[in-house]
Amino acid sequence: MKIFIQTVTMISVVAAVLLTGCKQSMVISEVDYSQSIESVLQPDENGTVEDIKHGLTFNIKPIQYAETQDTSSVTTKQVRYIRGQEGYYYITAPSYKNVYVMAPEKGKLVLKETLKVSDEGIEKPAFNQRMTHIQLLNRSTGEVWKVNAESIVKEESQMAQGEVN
Amino acid sequence: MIGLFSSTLYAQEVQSDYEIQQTFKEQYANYEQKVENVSSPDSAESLIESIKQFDQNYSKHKELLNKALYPDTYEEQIENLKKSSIRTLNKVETITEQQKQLNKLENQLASYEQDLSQLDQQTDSLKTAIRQSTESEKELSNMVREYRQSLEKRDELILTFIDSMVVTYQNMDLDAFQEIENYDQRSRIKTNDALKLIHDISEENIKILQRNASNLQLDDYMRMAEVNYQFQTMWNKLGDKIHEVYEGDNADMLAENINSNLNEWNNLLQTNTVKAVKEYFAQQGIEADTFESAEELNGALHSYLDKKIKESKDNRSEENYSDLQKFKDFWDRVEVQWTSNLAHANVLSREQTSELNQKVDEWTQIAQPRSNNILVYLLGGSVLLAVALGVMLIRQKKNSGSA
Repeated sequence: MKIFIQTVTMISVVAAVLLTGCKQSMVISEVDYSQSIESVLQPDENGTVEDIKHGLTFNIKPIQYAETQDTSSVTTKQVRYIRGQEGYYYITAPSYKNVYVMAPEKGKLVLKETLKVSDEGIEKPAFNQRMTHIQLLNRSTGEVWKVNAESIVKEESQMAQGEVN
Repeated sequence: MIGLFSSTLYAQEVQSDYEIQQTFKEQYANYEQKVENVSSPDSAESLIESIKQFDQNYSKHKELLNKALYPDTYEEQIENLKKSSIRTLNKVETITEQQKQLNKLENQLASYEQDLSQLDQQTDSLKTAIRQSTESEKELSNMVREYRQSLEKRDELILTFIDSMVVTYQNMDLDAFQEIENYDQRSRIKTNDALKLIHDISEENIKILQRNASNLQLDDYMRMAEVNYQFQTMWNKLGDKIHEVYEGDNADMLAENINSNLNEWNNLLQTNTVKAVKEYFAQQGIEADTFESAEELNGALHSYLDKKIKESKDNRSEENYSDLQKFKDFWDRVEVQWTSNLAHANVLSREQTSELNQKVDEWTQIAQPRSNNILVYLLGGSVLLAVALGVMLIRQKKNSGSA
């Protein structure tokens, strides 16, 4: 009887170990999602932008609504976005006051953060990919901001042109 | 002051990475277009400089551009642009050089055309004068000589023209020529009337051969055969290029006419040369069988030489030797001067001349009058005998003295 109990216990342990092993999912770490150069897209009359190069299509209206509280017509003439190292999308447009940090999920982009840039908005914004962060640039004035998924900080002393990292 | 500086600094828009790569791509495409369209060495050189500057401006963004241009690289693209700009420079230099040569030829042609026209007028008026002449035999003979001299000058001029054509056209790169036309979408590059002049020369040559046969001699035809040969060689080699470069609408017709004129010219030259040989034989008293064609001439020469060789073998006469001298006057010129010309005129091929030459040599060897040789031998023998007798006499005297 004792032997029977010991055998059953052993089989159970082995089965438990094997079953646990099968359920484990493979994980690849240290993935760099960063997009070298921002995408500049023109929305169609429905507000849809399509980035063929990066295989991404989405509608700008929810972001436009967040920015202007108006979706009666597509007023955004140009959308600029870049994907950061960690995989978030940083989206803005000319005269927008905010940068929208969006997290990709199955079939959707979910707002992670709204980062306020200025009350007036940037007339000619652009994103640059930098080693440790995303750079937001006001092309009209040369002002730059250091942007990441949680915060945005204006960099007073740095010139956008000379900066690489 | 600082405010002014700042406003000046930002008056020009700051470029983002996106704008940098976009501007690079636009400028690159623009340079590619310029490389395609450049049409002079000066503009090609300044374009090369401009591309160097372009490279200097963007090389600091190399890493960014490598990403934007993937799978190409910045360096590959700039290298391609530089190489194609240098290729274009070489091409436009070649074309410019060709155009210079064509312009030079244009001037030369104008001069040739004028000179040829003058000479043609001169020969025409001489011909008319000869036809209408009621002057003395001597006067007429002077006119004919003058006429022949003007034809000789004309042939020299044609040879000079041929040289100019060969120098201009032989290294011409027609592909490059075509490409530059495509670049500029210009109408056919202004070139010259070479094709027209070649056509006119070929027409005039036929007229000369048709109308003036009675006043021309074998020397004239042999010179013409040389000119004809050079002319045809030039046309065969360069005709396509000359045709291609010609700007007139009737290029195909002119080229076709030239080809048929050259054929006619060959036929006339052959017929007239055979006639001239016949006249020459009549004048020199060379009694060959009668002949009307090049083939018959060859046969007549063989049968004449065979007959004379047999005569020499049977009986070495002074008369036979005198015939040899007359024939040799003719044949020496054939051997030294005219072998090629007769071949070019399709009168006697080199092989036929060589076969005849063997018979002339055979005749020469056996036609020497025998008496001359005997005299030489007799004289030689007498001298030897005298020397031998002298030696014997001296020895005899020495022997009798010592005894």
